[in-house]
Amino acid sequence: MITINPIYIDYVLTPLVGGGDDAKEIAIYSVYQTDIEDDVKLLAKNILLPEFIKQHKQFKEAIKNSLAYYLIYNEKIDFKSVLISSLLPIKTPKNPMLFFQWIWDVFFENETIDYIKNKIVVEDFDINAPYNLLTKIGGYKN
Amino acid sequence: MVEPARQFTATNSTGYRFGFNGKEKSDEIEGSGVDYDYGARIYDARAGKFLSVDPMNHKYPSETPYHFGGNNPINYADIGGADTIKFCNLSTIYPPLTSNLDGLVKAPGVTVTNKYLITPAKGKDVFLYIVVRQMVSANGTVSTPYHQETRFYPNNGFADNGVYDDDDGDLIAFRRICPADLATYLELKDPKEYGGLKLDIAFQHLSDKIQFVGRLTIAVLAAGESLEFSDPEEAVAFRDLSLQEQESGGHFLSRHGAQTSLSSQYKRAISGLTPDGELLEETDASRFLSHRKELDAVNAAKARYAKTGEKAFTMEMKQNIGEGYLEGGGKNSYKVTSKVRAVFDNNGKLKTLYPVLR
Repeated sequence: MITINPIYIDYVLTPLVGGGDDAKEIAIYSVYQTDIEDDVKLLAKNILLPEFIKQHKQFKEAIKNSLAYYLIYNEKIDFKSVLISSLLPIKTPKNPMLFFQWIWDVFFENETIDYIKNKIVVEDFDINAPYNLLTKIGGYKN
Repeated sequence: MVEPARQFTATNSTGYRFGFNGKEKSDEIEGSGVDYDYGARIYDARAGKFLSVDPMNHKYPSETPYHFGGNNPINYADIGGADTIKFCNLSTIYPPLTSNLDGLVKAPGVTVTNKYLITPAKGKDVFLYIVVRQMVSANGTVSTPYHQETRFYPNNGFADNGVYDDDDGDLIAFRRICPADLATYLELKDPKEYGGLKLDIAFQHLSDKIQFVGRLTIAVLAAGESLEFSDPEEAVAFRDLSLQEQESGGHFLSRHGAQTSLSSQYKRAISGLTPDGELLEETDASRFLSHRKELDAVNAAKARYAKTGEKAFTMEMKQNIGEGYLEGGGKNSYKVTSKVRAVFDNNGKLKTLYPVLR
């Protein structure tokens, strides 16, 4: 059984979160066009992935499962709200789900999101779930 | 020019360079003690004014830009020549004492937990001045109360009102502000090293059996700050947040603090113009409902970061802590929230912290 939680989607974006409050970050990241696949994949590879791979194995699993689940059942989540509420230094893409799909492609190369269909999944909405998990596994980094 | 008999010559060859307000004499103008270096500007003791324009003059449009302490040196001090510090006025915080002279007198809503017994010197009135200090550190931890007891005799007088720097470079402001029969004596510590200072103050005049115990929270505003709060705890929280933002280089107060207006947040939601005047991208725009709520969130975020190492995370504060407008504005864009997002940089400094509206 797998427990997934939409709050884990936020962690895909960690290096960019809050950057919308900072003119310098906006200037740096504005070169990435969020509707262009190559640009998003470059952003994912150069900026997002290095932070993701540093994380604890169990935490990465939680992020991966949640991202896969909500990319499959995308009517259950508002990806646009996830992006806007993260105060990112990039423009909100016209197709936010595709934006996350491209990130998936970079993070989990050659892996399909369909594996989640074969799992027993429990949906959790506890906003403290990441904190509880990190407390249990001893911290964010591997 | 210094008044005759108000100066002395030091025994060493270099002489003593400090004078009015403890500031160093520049002595670049003919005579001694004519001009003093206040840091930001040179003070002219002959005119009682500064020689150059106040760098903070935009905050005091009704004053001449050369003024010292708002031309009101009884109530204000000008520590570095850049801004004015207002002495806290205790009478606006506490209501007048009641006529109960036998027993405890306290301000409404104040819980008294300590009672102090002292023995006066025979045949003398003695005043007891007790400060119970609790230091609040930047991460929100509160120290064990530290009791400081001072006894003095009214006939011997008190230290003068004034402001000085102590050996550690802390700003100390002191002033006798209560009626003479109570001989209140107030000491303020610059809270920058504590992130806020809470004082419990007790006074006792044994001959009249007046005892007064109360809790007082005080903020000292430094250069560049001139806010006045009706609630002193808000002032302390603002002060603490302001120092933390300066230290981290973040934007959690200037763009999301309770001092920003709702209309400025709406402007950001529809145009990207931040409350502190920077044109960024349109986004959800939010502010905290009070400085204390924001400070609670900052402290909770720092504690969580220390424990988990997460650089960006969302917290549920279990009460409404913020409000704002969704990106683009419009009729139903106003939201109130109990959620906060905190973001730390690679060095563990708080980059931003804002109420999450979605």
